[in-house]
Amino acid sequence: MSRRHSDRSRDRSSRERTVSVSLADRGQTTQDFAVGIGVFLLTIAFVFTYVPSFATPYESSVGGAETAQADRIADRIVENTTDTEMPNEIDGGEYRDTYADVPPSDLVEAVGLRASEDDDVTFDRVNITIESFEDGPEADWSGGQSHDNQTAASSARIVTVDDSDEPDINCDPACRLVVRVW
Amino acid sequence: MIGQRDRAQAFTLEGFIASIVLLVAVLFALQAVVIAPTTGGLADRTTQAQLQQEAQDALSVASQDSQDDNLSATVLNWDTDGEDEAGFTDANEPAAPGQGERTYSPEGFADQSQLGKILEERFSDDGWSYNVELVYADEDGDEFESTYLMYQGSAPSDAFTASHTVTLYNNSEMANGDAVENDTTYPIPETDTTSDRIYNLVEVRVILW
Repeated sequence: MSRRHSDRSRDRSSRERTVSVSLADRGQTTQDFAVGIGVFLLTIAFVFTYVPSFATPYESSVGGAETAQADRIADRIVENTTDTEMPNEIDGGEYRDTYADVPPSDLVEAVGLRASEDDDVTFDRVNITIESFEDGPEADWSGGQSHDNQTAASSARIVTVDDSDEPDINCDPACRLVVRVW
Repeated sequence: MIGQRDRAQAFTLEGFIASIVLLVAVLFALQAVVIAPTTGGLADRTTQAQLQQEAQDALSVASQDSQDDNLSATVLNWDTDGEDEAGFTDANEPAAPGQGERTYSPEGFADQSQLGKILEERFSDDGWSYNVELVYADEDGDEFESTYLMYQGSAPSDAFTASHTVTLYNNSEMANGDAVENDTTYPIPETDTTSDRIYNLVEVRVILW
């Protein structure tokens, strides 16, 4: 029995040597490589997804172009509806006829928006509102697309309104003309 | 053969070391720059430009002639009849450092002037601070002096200003009814001009932060 055993063990050991020679040489490199490269790739993925998010809260989806456009429109409205004697006093009738009391498509030409050839599709949306310091925005004095808290570039001017024979707006001491572009 | 067996944990270690190098690099980069809301640049510059525009508009609106408490009336709102020594009407706050005239609080200034009302409703109520300064030429006309109508403290370096110039004439009436040239307590002197009608030019400067 002992002889058989030693024979068997000799047989096994000689057989083992022939079968597992390459495994013994490589140690655990396959698993080792998988773990190593896995950890490394995870770290790379983490860095690439995480780093851009540091700056995200401070980025705005509104670009400089919209901001400049809102500025320019607000400036143009104040320029075109004021007479020279009273700085920043908007002529209520002219303002409403041109900007507030018209369908949004009429604003394409009035304030220079990008639109399709026959003005029925506009690529820039604009909202023009006069807000009273006391009473907030006034629907009668608002024109363009309705603005429902979308992210928009805005520009504001402080004005008064000459509102004879127009819907009332309380501009004492002043109102804000707010232009939003998005 | 023994050398081959030593490789057992090499790839895992390598992976961990590479990860650590990467993370340290990120950490170092984050420590090296300060990320603040204004880092992007755009937000800060545009809001600043807009608020400056609104301050400028506030001065324009306040200078409209139709208001009886407009900008020139505000500058000339000098009271010599009160119980206190002569000063701007109902100004109760202490003078700015190095100045003799009492100043207004935001509410007091709003009671006295159109400019104050606009500034209070637009800026003070939203948590902004502002000084209102009057800058004028001295008697010889070769240097400028200033006094404060409102003083809320020394402005920080990122404050911005808007200004509007008001002309005072010799016969401009002050709040107490006197012509400005006859009052000796008024801080703005008659300056040396080629015209005998012009008293002085006053720059009303709003400093906002």
